Amino acid sequence: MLQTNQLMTTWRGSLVVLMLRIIWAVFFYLSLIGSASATITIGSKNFNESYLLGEIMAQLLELEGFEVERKFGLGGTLVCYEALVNDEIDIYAEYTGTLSHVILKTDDLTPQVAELNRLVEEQALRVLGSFGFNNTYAIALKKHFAKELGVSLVSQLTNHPDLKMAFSLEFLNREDGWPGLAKTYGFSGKPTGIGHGLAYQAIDQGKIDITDAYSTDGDLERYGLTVLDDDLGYFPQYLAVPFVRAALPNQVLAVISRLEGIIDDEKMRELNGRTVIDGESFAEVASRFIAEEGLGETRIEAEVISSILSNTITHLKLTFIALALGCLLGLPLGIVVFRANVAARITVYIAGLLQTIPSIAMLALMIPLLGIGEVPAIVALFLYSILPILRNTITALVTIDPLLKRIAEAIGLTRSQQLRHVLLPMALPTILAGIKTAAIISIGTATLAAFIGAGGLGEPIVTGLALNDTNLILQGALPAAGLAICVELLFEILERLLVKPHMLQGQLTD
Amino acid sequence: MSSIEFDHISKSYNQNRVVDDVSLLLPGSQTTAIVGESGSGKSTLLQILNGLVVADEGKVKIAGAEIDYDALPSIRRNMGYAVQGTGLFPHLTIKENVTLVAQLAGWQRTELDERYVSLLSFFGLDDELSERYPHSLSGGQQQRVGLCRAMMLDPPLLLLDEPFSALDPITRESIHEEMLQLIDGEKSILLVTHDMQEALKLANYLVILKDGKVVQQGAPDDVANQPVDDYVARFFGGANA
Repeated sequence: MLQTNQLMTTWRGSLVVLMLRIIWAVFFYLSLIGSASATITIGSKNFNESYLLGEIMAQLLELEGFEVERKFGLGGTLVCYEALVNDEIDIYAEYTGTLSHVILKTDDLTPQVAELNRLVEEQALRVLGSFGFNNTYAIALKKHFAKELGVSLVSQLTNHPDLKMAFSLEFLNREDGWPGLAKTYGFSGKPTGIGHGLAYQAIDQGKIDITDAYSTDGDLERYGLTVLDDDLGYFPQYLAVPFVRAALPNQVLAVISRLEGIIDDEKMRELNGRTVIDGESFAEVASRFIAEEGLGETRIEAEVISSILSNTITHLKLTFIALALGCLLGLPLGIVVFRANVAARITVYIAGLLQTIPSIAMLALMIPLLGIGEVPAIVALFLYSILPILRNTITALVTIDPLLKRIAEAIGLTRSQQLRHVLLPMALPTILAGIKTAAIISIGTATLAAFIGAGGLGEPIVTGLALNDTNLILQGALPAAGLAICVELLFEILERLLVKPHMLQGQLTD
Repeated sequence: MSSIEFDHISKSYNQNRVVDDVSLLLPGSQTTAIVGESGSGKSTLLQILNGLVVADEGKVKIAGAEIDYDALPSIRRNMGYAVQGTGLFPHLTIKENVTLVAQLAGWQRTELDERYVSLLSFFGLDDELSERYPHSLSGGQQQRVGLCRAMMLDPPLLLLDEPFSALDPITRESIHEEMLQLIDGEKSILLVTHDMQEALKLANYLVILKDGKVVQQGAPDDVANQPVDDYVARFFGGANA
């Protein structure tokens, strides 16, 4: 008896310890998500130069013993800026011109760091000294072609109105892009729009003569292109600068400031070229750069398999949590509203409205509300998963043969018994199909979550797109496709387990 | 056992009076056939009885008690309900269809099995059908299963809404025979039909409905011998032919 008591006590004791451990772990994890004061979070935009600068800053900080979290490949200037303002990231590489035009909306063509600092002070942000290069827009054409024509200045293009011009859509539409350029230099030609990546191929194959480029673009070397001198000084300055939260400790700022002025245009073009042309990873290039500049020796770990695995796990986590929440809301809501025609219509309309928001816009909308990272990504995916689940649930319940509904009532089933024994089992195939659709949509849409720093299989895709690296894109796209197929199979098995074969006839023909 | 009383019952759909001031007093333990053309309101009258339809005006009493609309499930378990087109649940086996309510009502396994097997043999159904699903049964078999379900709880009142009209004549004939055995003088049966031959064969009381109104009621012979108008006479014309 005593023995049993003792056993019970130890058993209870270990249970309490276990509970405490779990609670501690949960709080530890939450605190990591929450503020992460000890960790420096570095962001980057989704093009390779931004990744590289982010990686260089990250490695340098790690070298000095700081914990660094990377949230690279964020979907554009506004995402990065909002993330910085909302403490989601601490540092990212920005450009003075972008700061001035896009963020601060000034007309200053040559914004100075001191002036910018005055303007961002209010947001508790700081602009540090430039890395040393100016990545501005440039007009590019083949080196040998430029020689043949004898042009080296942008203004000389007016003598050759027959040249075929194609510019990236962004350049064509930006105030500081083509419209201003044409006005300043008096161009009258009508350029066509083209994707930035395609422009180089087109110019390489001689389909177009002239396109826009970034002056530090690694691809310029690869395609044998030269840039024309902006002799009227039209293009604004885009000096690359570390953009940081002012609250960062001085030690951190001191480390970042070591990078001031040590990367010129040519150096940046070379570094970019190493990633784009030679296919080196950002980590490799950054590590080599740091060593070459005598800043230290860094260790890099790059394991493709483990990164695919961890991306897949993150991806599954995002999708699964969103889907579970979608079911948790969509199923009960559908069951509650299906009997009331008007309420059912209204809820389906609202869910449909959510569905029409483009995924990128939905993710962008999440930033001011929830910042960046996994939480807003899950919320966005959750909102997308509601419609298929809700609509299929309502449709399935509404379209059950009215005679059977009448019988279920007439034989003396209560409301909940009708639901449990007649309506839901009959609706199950269609409801399952809805959940399946939601799951597959989620897996596809979750690849975009990388734009707001949620990771997952979108990360290699976004990076690969920035680098034009098919290999890297496939590292994200193939597992994502595999996941979609697995989910399809999983649901087929689930259907077989839960639904009698004759109940599937005429349904789920998709 | 259950007497039924309709007291000035009316029901309209979109200003269309489907049941128009119907008053009937049907003693228990008899088989009443409600005969009328389609649209005469006979099905609605039946559904007012089991609370599927709520009357706009008037009162309904079963065994002297007004229907308590808050306790419909338990009231309905005292009324078997069988309809045209059977209404068997496609996701349940034959046995599950028949015994669903008994199971939910907490019947003992042995009691349930006993009742089920006796019903099955009463309607001449093979036990081999038990684990099959409704779609694999013939129309006649499905209709018999529908009747088994209506009878499972051994209700004092049976509501039959044209359950035989979609069957071929031979099958209908044989189910009629089975029904006649069932009518043992204890159960109250309310049969809705447009087939006077069927009504005459099964019922010992006739109610003729037209446009939601009772035009004639009485013992079959009395109604047959003295039809009040052409409408009633026409039903017998068809039956005699």
